[in-house]
Amino acid sequence: MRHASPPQELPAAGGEIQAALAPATASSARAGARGGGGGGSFTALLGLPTSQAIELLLPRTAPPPALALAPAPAPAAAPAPAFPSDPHLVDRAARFSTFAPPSPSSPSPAPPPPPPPAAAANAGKRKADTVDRASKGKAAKKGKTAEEKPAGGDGDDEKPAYVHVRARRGQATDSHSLAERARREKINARMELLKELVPGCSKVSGTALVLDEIINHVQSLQRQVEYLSMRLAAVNPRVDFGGLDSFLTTECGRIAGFNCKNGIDLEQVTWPEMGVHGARQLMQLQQQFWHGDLAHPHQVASQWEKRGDGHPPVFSNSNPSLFGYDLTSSGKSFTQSYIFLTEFSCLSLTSHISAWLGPRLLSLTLSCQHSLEKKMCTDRRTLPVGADGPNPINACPEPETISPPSFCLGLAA
Amino acid sequence: MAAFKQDLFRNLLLGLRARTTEAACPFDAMSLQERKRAIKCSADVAMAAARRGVAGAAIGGRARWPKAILAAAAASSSSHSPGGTCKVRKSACCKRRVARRRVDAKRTIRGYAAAASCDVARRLVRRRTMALRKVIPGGSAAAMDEAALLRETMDYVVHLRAQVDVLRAVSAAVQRSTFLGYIFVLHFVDPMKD
Repeated sequence: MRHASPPQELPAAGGEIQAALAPATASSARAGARGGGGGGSFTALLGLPTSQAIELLLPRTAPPPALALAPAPAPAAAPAPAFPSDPHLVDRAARFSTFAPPSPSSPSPAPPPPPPPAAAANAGKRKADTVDRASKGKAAKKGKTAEEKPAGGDGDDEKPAYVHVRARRGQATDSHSLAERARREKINARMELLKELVPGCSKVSGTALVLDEIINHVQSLQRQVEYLSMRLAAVNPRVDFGGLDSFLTTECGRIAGFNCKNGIDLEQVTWPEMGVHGARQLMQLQQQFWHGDLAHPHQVASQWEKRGDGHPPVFSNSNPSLFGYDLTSSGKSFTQSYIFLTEFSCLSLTSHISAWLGPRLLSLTLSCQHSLEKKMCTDRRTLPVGADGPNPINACPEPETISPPSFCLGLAA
Repeated sequence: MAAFKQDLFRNLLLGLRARTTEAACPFDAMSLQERKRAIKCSADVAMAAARRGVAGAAIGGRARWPKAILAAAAASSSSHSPGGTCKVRKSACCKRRVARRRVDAKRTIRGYAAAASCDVARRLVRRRTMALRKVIPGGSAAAMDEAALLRETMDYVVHLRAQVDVLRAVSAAVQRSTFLGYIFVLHFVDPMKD
């Protein structure tokens, strides 16, 4: 008769029991050892001599020689996490901390495994078929799990790595397939990361399509680089790129754009007295061609205020060097990156004018503008007071968009 | 990432400056295409240099594409015929493609019934892997396995995005300032003649 409960609660592998019982049952009483197949394990176990039964049942550290299986001792439980989850998590962690590829210390967070058997340790890279007793289920001969004990990092290129792999049920356990499986899982982990990196890949399933998306993304990025470089080449045929250093002042705007969305922090940092303008672009324009002592932004700000609101500071063509920007220093603080070029003094003037006029272009009439132009032509050094009288630069909603067209409109006449 | 962008920017300017001062052709004399190529080359070299500089000490300093970019740039600058190398590369690619098509035709004629789905999938993946190798700098040179190639791709994508950001910001700033320059010229030059 078959007993009802399969020996699932027993830690012993059914196959081992059968293998162990095969000689045992032959010798033991036939009455207890009923039935070939998986159902008879428990009763067969009962038929075993006590010592053997205890050995089979208890989580053993040293295999009894009667088992005649792999000599390596099996760890009691599963000490280390399975391979698929481990590098994936490590990859994610590594990715979020710095963008480092899967770090070589991936198995180090894994708890150190029990000391591998001498044979397994000295074997090659991914060897040591060990038998684990943790498999449950029926006494199928495939119901084994094999564990490999890691003995090193998961380095890619340098050293031969020991990989901790758990073979699932129904999978072959020879070293080749284990290695193959480890490799495949590593590749899958990387594909997951790539899927998250490339937009639009998460919905796609299947390696080929994901690779397609990745290739398209990389090619589109490269094409964007080409297009942007074309734009850069086309924009300034006159301006020599040696003079591009002045555009280093835009670094502040760029960094502001990178660090904070609206550049409002920048305004608050460098122009505290001015208050926060509503116009980010206005601030960027001002700071692009900012004259003054590089190390003392506040000084310039106070100068601005001293002359009455609305007067841009007087600038002098004092800086003779083309490359005042210290290219060798670390560009950490953007205040050090402001320079002033002689060639761009006119541009600075323009920017200051635009910055000054920006909020008020809507209110200026053509005649006022003409008079202004004349005054500016006569005295290029100091900007005169506008016809409307000095006013603090009011928060203008969108001078960037308003000022250029109105400039054109004003100048067209 | 901000540090990388700063480094990239600085390297870009250095490279461009070096290119215009030491080379025989100043920027004005070059045609648009040449200028574009120069800028693009400088940007790539800047990206590679910044990558090596920033992440040299970090764990992720094992990327191979910077070396490939720098090697290619050095080779092209020494030979001073970038167009020639490009043509050579293109012809090689065409040859490869043609050869592959012939092989595929033969396969389909013979074992049409035996084309299992997994084989097809594997072939597709292999084809795309080779295409990815061509796109990523340094991919086709070294014998990289798939895992290393994927890691290179990840690294390259991130830094390429940063490069695009930097270039976009620079071009926007340049455009803005030259626009102002033009306005100034239009504005001030004429009245002064009166």
